[in-house]
Amino acid sequence: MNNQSITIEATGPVMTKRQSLFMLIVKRYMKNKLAVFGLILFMILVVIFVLGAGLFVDYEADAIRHNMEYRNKPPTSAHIFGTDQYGRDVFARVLYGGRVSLFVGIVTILLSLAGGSLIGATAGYFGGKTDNILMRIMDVFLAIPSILLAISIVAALGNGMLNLMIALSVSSVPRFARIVRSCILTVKGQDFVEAARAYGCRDRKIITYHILPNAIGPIIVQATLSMSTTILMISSLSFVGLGLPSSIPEWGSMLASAKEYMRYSPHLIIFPGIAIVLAVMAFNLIGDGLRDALDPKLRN
Amino acid sequence: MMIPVILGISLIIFTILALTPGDPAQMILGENASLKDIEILREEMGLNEHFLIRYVKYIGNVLRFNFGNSYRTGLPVISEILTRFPNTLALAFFGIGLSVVIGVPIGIASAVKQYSIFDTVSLGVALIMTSIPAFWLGLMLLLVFSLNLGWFPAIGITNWKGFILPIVTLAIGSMAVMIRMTRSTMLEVIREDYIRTARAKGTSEGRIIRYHALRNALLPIITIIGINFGLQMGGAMICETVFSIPGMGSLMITSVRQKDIPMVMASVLFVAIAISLINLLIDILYATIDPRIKSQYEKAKR
Amino acid sequence: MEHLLDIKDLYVTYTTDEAIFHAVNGLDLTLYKGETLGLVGETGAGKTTTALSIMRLLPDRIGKIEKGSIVLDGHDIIAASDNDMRVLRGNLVSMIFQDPMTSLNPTIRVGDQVQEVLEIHQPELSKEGAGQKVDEIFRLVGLPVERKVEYPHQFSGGMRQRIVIAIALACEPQLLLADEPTTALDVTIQAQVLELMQELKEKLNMATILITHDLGVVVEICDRVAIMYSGEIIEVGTLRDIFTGDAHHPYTDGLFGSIPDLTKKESRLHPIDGMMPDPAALPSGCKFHERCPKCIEICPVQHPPAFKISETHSIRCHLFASEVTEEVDAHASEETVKE
Repeated sequence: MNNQSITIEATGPVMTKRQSLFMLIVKRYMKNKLAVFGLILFMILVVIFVLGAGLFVDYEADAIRHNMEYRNKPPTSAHIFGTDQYGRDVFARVLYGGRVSLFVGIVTILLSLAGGSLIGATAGYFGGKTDNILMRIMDVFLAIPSILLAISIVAALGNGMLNLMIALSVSSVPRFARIVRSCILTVKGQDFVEAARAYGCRDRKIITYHILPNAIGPIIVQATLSMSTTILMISSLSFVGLGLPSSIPEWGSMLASAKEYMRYSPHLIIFPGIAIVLAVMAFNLIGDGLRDALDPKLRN
Repeated sequence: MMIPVILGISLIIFTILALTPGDPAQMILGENASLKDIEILREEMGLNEHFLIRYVKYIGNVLRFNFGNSYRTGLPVISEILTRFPNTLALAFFGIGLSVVIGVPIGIASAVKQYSIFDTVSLGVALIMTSIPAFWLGLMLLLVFSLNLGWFPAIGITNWKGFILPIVTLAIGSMAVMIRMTRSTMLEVIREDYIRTARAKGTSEGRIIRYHALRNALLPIITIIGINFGLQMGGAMICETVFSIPGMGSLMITSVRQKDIPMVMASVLFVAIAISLINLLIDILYATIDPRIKSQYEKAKR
Repeated sequence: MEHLLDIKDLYVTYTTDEAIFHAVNGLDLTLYKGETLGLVGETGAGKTTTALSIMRLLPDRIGKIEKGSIVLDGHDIIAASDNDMRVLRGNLVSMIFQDPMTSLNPTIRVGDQVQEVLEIHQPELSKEGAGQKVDEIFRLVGLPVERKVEYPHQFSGGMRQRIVIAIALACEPQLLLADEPTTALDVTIQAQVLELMQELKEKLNMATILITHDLGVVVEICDRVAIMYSGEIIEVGTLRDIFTGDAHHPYTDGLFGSIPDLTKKESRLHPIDGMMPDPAALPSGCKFHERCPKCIEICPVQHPPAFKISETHSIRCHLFASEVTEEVDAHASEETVKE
């Protein structure tokens, strides 16, 4: 028999087992009312920000162009969230701000996932001194409060979307590294890896078929929870002027510019703030829900 | 164990900041400076030396409390930092204090009355509070209590009233963490076997919570307070912008904008050291309270 | 002999999101003053649940005593208020649990943990008086008195179990419920703890229900034995009734048959086939019938009553219907609850 058919046979039962485990997790997630609410909230927000931004409002006309006649108007039927100090439609800016937050957040997470997986996999797989050194470095990074780290990187690289994404992703790398490393360590110690090697499975196949399925759960939980903290940091940094340039609609920078007008135009700070709260809450609920659904010990 | 971590942090931040493009000497002297003058200044500032040598020299200076001079003013950064640091520290400290005083009892009550309405409500409130960005909460509180009601000043901390709103803002955010963590710690403790033993003795539920459960729950709670402190320092720094408070946060932000690298480096290092020291104190406190760890130390001494 | 404890027709369930587990089903038990009763059965038979019910320590929202009566020294346990129960716990009846490593509070000195029982139930004692009594109890269970200021983690497993016993006996209860007190200890320590329990039984004239799955332990210190299966007592008798003689419930036969015997030459062990029924889906008729090698026609249909074989010996099995001196209980005519 050649290697091809052995691999296929080996993944046969593994596949069915994985599918039923997946359904079990989905079932448990669905039982958790808050988690389901978070998921629904998330889907609503995605629809509004991604589709709504294109459909209901126009980028140029509503979010960007200054329209000095309509400055700081409170909510009306034409502008349901009111207008800002340059006459721009707040609703439009909130929607596009949502797109920005989601985009920056996702790219940031993907960057940290990539970096973290590389470091974690190397540490876990090679063990020994490499593992020790890498993990010590990760520990030091974890000891630095994320906001300080992000500020330092922005200080060095300057403002801008790419720099912000790099700055934010660095602080999430250690957590992903730890997860990937521990998954590899767990699997490394198990006999079926030896067995797989014995009948010719190459290392890369071992990683794909055996290690990844176990790792996906905790990684997704960490990714969702990191997403909520990342969105908070994006808006915090933009608020103090160290994030995205103020021309790009972003909730944090909207709040920063609204500060001086807020006494008589409270709508300028209410709506972007609520958007942040909803987005962060959605990710928090999903992350918590996933973590509870995946953890076999959390039964009362 | 703390020293290598601090050194590591300092190295990482130093390395990151060393990547800043641009020539500090040129920035200081201005556009019209001659190349020769720039070169002389570079020599003086030690900018031509190898990166690691510069790092070692920096650490050496730090140990003598010399954190370098500001690129902007030329004055030692330490004086500016020392005036501002107490403000940020006070905000974080009182913020956490308030959140512990309110949040821990709520968390305990929530755990004891699990599944009750009180529990559901406090969990719900905690959830919402974790999703609210501190600076937005600060803005809203400012709007209502300062601008509209006039109870507190909107800017600065000229009198003690100026501290109230920022401390409350930080406390609310921190409270969410305290409530959730206290609740889950208590829930775990209540399920322990020794609580069952206490019940089998005929101990009343109240005494079980106060005497048997609490001392065991306090230990993880103390650790959580330590971790939370780091987060609150970060939060305090952002909130300084909302309330126009002269603290480390506003200092750091302006220095970043002005590319005043020594100031940025020193501020970050200062805050990082402060957080590490607090965590060290927490660890020591933990070791004195937990009899298991205490006896390890005593055994080691012998 | 005087009755200390009378349990009649006890039904206890555990309710979770997924199912209702019938842990105890129609349990009848009598305990006489000063005797040691061994309560034997597999894991999941309902032994611990029975003990927790006597103490009214079932987990709060999950465990429930559905019906039946428990009368302990004249006290109606089921009708008692929470306050009444607190007066009884640690005082009239005490319980010790399986794992000594986790049964003690790690942050309180062991002497204080023992003293607490005295402070709760004998508040008239002065601090010195209580302290002296703690010293007495320490000596009674074989613990060095000077170590009462130490913390649990400074003691070994066997010594921790002694501390647990000290706590349980501080107020000289009339009934001690011991839930597998030696299972978590190694064999040599086990022997010491059993010896201690034997001594204490004689000194204090205390009744004990010793829960165990180990027949070797039963033979050491028990006067009577009750065998429990799927939430009910299926055989009860004196030590002699159970360990000698031919008349036994088929399950009991299986238990004894599964003990390796060094004198016999057998190539394999004979564990009992199958498993105990799922407490969420109990079978009809006799609960053992699916595993029983001697199952007859009536077994799946009718739940057997307990038949009295002798003054002291009862067996809940249809095979003994002809040998009765009388039928012991009224369960005979009931159809068993399905699921």
